[in-house]
Formats: sequence, C-alpha cells, structure tokens
Amino acid sequence: MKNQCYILFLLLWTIAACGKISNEVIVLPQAVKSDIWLLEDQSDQKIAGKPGGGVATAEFKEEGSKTHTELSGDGTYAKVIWNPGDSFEMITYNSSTGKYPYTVYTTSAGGEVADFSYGSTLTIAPFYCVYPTISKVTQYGGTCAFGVTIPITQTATAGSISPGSNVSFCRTNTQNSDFHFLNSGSFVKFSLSGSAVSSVTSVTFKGPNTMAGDCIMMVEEDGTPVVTNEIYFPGDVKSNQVTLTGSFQTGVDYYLTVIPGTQDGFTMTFSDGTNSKTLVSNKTLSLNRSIISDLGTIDIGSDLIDDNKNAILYVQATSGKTPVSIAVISEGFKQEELSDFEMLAKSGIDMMFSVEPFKTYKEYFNVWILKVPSNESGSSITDGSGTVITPKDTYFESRWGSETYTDMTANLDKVLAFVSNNCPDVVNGIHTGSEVATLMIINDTRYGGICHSYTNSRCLGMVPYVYSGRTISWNYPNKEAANESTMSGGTRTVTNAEKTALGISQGDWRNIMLHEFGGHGFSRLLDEYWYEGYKSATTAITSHSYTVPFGLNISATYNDPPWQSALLDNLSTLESINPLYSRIGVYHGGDVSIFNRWRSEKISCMMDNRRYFSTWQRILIVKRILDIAGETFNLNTFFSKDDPTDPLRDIVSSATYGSVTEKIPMKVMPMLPEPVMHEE
Amino acid sequence: MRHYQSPMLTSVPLTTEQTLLTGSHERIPVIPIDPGFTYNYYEEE
Repeated sequence: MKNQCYILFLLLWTIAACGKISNEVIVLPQAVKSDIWLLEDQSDQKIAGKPGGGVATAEFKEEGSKTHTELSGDGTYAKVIWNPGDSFEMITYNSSTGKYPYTVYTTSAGGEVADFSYGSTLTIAPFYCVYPTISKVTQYGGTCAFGVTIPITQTATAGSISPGSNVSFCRTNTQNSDFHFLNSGSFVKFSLSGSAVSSVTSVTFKGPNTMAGDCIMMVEEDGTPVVTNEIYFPGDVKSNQVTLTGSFQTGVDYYLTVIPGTQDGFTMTFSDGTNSKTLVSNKTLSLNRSIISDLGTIDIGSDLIDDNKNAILYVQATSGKTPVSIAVISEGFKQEELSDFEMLAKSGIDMMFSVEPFKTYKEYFNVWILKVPSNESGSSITDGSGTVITPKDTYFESRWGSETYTDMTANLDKVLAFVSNNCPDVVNGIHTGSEVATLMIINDTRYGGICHSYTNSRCLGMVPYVYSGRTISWNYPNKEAANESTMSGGTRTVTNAEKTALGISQGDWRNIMLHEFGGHGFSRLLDEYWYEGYKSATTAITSHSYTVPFGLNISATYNDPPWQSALLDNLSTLESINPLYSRIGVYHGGDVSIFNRWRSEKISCMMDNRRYFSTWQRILIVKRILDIAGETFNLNTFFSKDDPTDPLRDIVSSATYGSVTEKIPMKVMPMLPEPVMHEE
Repeated sequence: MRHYQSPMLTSVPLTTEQTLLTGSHERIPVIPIDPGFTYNYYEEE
C-alpha cells in the first residue's frame, strides 16, 4: 500500500510539475501503524501524526539546498552569518485542503543581515520559515511539525560550525516583514592541544542520549522552536554521537551542533583513522537551545592510545571501618566500546548517589568500575524461556527474551569469579566476592532488567542500556485492593486523578538500575507493585529469615508490620518533624500480589522506579550500609540526617513546559520481573 | 530594492513601502564549561 501511494504521489507530482500549476505540494496520506500511546506498541519508533488518525506528510523538493551559515563573534557570543546563496523555506498550512504551500527565499549577498528574494507570495498566516530547506512536514497536536536534520557527521570548520548544521526557525504573520531566526540547535565549542592534534582526522562527541540525526521541530506559542526525539517520521535516523571530520590544528576553535538536551556524562574520541584516544567525563551537560558550551582547550597529549585502565575507583569511602564495596562490570561491550561503558557506569552511579539515602551515605562506599571486553556487542536473545535463539559472544553470556524478561540471566559463576579475581577490594582481602554488590551494565538497548539475589549478601543487578537512554515512564497499577486491611472488599479502579497526585514516574535505563540494583540488589528490598489479576499471596515471606534478610519492606500481615515500632508507633512525632512523614502507613498490595501483602507507603522506587525510596526503605538501606561499614544504626541519628522529599511530588521543576512540549507523548513500559532468589 | 518574482498564489499584495526583506539570526551566548576529563579518585594501575 505504501509503495502504491508513493507511485501515486510521483504521478501527481509529475503532473503538477509539468503543468507548472503552483508549488503547492501534494499531500500524501499514510496509514498510521497504531495508537502511539498504546502499551502494546513497544516498538522503538513512533509515527508522527495524530493518534488514531492519519498522518499527512508533505514532501518538498528543495531539501538541503545551499546551506552555509557560519559563526563569528568576540568570544562571549557568536553571530550567525548568511553566506551568498543561502536559502530558507517559507511554509504555510492550508487546513481546508490539508496542503502546505511553500516558497523558497535566497540571498545573493549574505551577511549577518541579508536581503532575500523569493519565488511566490503565500497567503495563509502564520508563515513558518525554516533554514535550511526541508523535505517533510506534518500536523501533530494541532500544529505544524517539521522534519529537520542535525547532521550526525559534520565537517570540521576552523572558527565556525559545519555548513548547514544550524537548523533555525522563524514564525511570522506577515510575509512583508524582516525575518529574525531563532536557532534550534545547541553548540559545543572546543580547541585542542598536544602534539597528536595534527594527526587527528575525526573527533567524535558521544553522550548517553540522542544528540543528532533526523528529528521533529515544532514551535511553542511564543515562537520558540522545540526539537523533540519522541516523535518520528518513518525512516528517521538518530544517533547518540556527532563526528566532526577533517583536519585539526592546535589553537583553533571548532564547533559541534547538537540536538538540545541533557547529557549525563559524555566522551570525546580523537582518531587518526587507525588509532584513537577516548576521554571520558562524568559531567552533566545541559545543552540548551542556542547556547555555545565552550569546553575550552582539550589536551590530547602526544599519542592516540587509550590508557586502558581496567579498574577505576570511581567513588572512594572516607567513613566507616570497612568500605561498602560495589563493582560495576561491563557486558557486551567490545574493546573499543569500553569507554561507552565507563561513561554509562559513571552516569548510573552518579544518579544512584543523587537519591536518598545513598546521597547522604555516599562517604561509606567504594565503587569500582571494572572493564572487561566482549567479543561481540549486545546480548543473546532467548525464546523467553531460557533457550538462546540469537546468540552473541559476550563475556558473561547474558541473555533474555524479546517479549518477556523473566528469563534474564548470565553465567552467574563467571560473574562471581571475575569480581573475586579483579575487584581490588576482594583481591586485597577486604571482602569476599559474594559480599561485593555487583551491577552489570549490558550494551543492549532492549527493554529488560532483573536482579539475582542470594540468601547471603551476594547479588547481581543486570541492567541494559534500554532504548539508548531514551525517556520512558511507568504507571501506578490500574487496580488496587479496595480495603487496606482485608481482601474482602475486592479491587477498585485507581482513577487518573489519583495517579496524577502520585506523580507520573519518568526516567531512563538508570531508573531501572536504581530499582534492580539499588533496591533489590544492594538493599535487598522486594517489589512493591503488583500485577493486575495476579495470584494473591497466602504464605509467610520466607526471605525475611535469610542469612541476610531480604524483603523487610514487605509485610505478610496488616497488623504489626516490620515498620511498626520504628515508624507507626512514632508517627505523630515524625509528622511534627516533617509533614511528608504522614505518607507512612500500611498499604495493601506489594511483592507482585494485589492482596495479602502490605507496604509502608503508597508509592516508591520499588513500585514505579522513581528516584525516591520510602522512609522505611531508607531505614533498611542505611542499616545495611552501616552493618557492612561496621557501625551501629541509631534511629535518632537516621532522622537527624534524613530527607523524606520525593522529587517527583515535592519539587516543582524549574523547567518550563510549553504547550508543544506537553503534547510530546511518554513511552509507558510495564514493570520488570521480580528478583530471582538463589540459595548460597 | 525588491527581490521577488511574479507571485503565483497572491491574494495579499506586498506593500510598496517595503524596500527590504531581510533575514537575521539571534546571537548565541558562549558559556565556559569545564569538560571534567579527570577521574575523581585513584585509578588502579
């Protein structure tokens, strides 16, 4: 059907072109694959268009013509200079015909302010001007959405940006006015030093999130362009990296153009085509629209050879008798991808230590980043029941199913042996391998995540780099027990208003890491969500009596739960300290069971992966930290340091969300499987 | 000085007073950022 439509389009286009009727384009309707909000649609691609309706995608012919703007300035700001021959495109939308009349403006002189001539006059305001000229536009959420490209490969240009990379935008209600363009991209500036610079032929800037490629630009009510990665035209290609190619000199400024966004950590790789050196940073870059982030002069030294240190002590304990040791290990990263692993490991660990109580008790931890290469990238794919159907030759033999995640595992003995032989805190006799909480970051973008926990302290949190760092979200269950104390009342439907009041959890692969490794693995907490229609738990919780107890955040009884004496008996006092402690109670549901399991707060990380552990969970985590560190837990001391703030509910974001941003859909995902328990 | 060809879809004519149709961009501020290419702590040899 798609091909037939395309042929029809070509035919109509040819007729229009031969007849020279106008430059109004033919609209090509396409069938929309599915409602993009449906949970069942777990493909990594979203289709631009109104949900449930058709996609109207217009195509133009002048894509990418003559795009040369460059920068000049005095170091505190940059001016954008038109070059002779530069063109931009003016587009309008005729809602009665569904067509997009357009015309192209061209300057012959250039300059910071340039005169433009154009081919035809348009009649329907508002007029959208896009530079460089584009080939795709559609309607999304009642407004025009333009297909633009920030190139994945850019040309190194001394003192300026790569030609054509400055996608810019102007909206006006009259065609007779001067056009003032707003830059939609963000820019990174750097210069290089070191004798190896003259041999460099490419510089690659990489982050955990999308930073270049085909994307959709929309406009806020105030005219500000917004570039989003959450809506796609079919066939769009995106990348988490930008490569600048050409020759490089010391003392010269170079620029990269990137899609605005936050990069929690980044790498820069300098290559001569044969050898390369990668520098890794844990810096969070807020790459805002129309801002140049100046990284200054980067010294790359005298050679292009990586340091290749296999064990990095990223966090070092300064308190406690014994360090609380964590090992972060690489899986499915080839030798040349280990810098990606290091970047992700630092980003993930930084995120975990931004969440209470890890934030306050960070001084007790040793975090080791241990690199080991795999022969192949990724992870093996199973049939969902443990049988590998698409093998990958990876160091720890990680694997899980495409549609289900419950069989996610690895060679667990090999993991323990590796940590035992390579983690300096084990080699030096501070801990055994089983005592080092281990986080495996997997170089696979499929959805997944699980924790293997043992009756002693051993654990392995397995976390893939889900959807290449894209934003995903998790919902509170649709149904819950109608009665907090008994199952006699059956279930009730949770209203959208109730869900909104709890906050919609949004995050990325690191939120899965926080839940699987921070929650299950290190902290030995059980899940607090439940599956709708899942069996009702009827037994006691045996993991409470493990050598190292597991799951004390869940009670098998409504009366006298594990948090009774510490919290419920002191509730009025706690509420007088901070009203947020009033969230403590006894709530029906948890441990994947809708009935006969109880939790201490309505919602937490162990429910929807948010960056918030409940008060009782924080107590259990601190007890665990101090137990390993050789210190005694004291409830009063705990509360003197405690912060019960849930960022999702209690902190108003400083970010301003415009009308367009609010229309960008969230990718809602199901919760991942409960931890797998092992005897040891 | 005018720069346009015969309009094809005109219903709103351009004003004769308009002498220039110009295009310009907003200027871009530069913010210095330490790239942080150093490990925070000790590295194992």
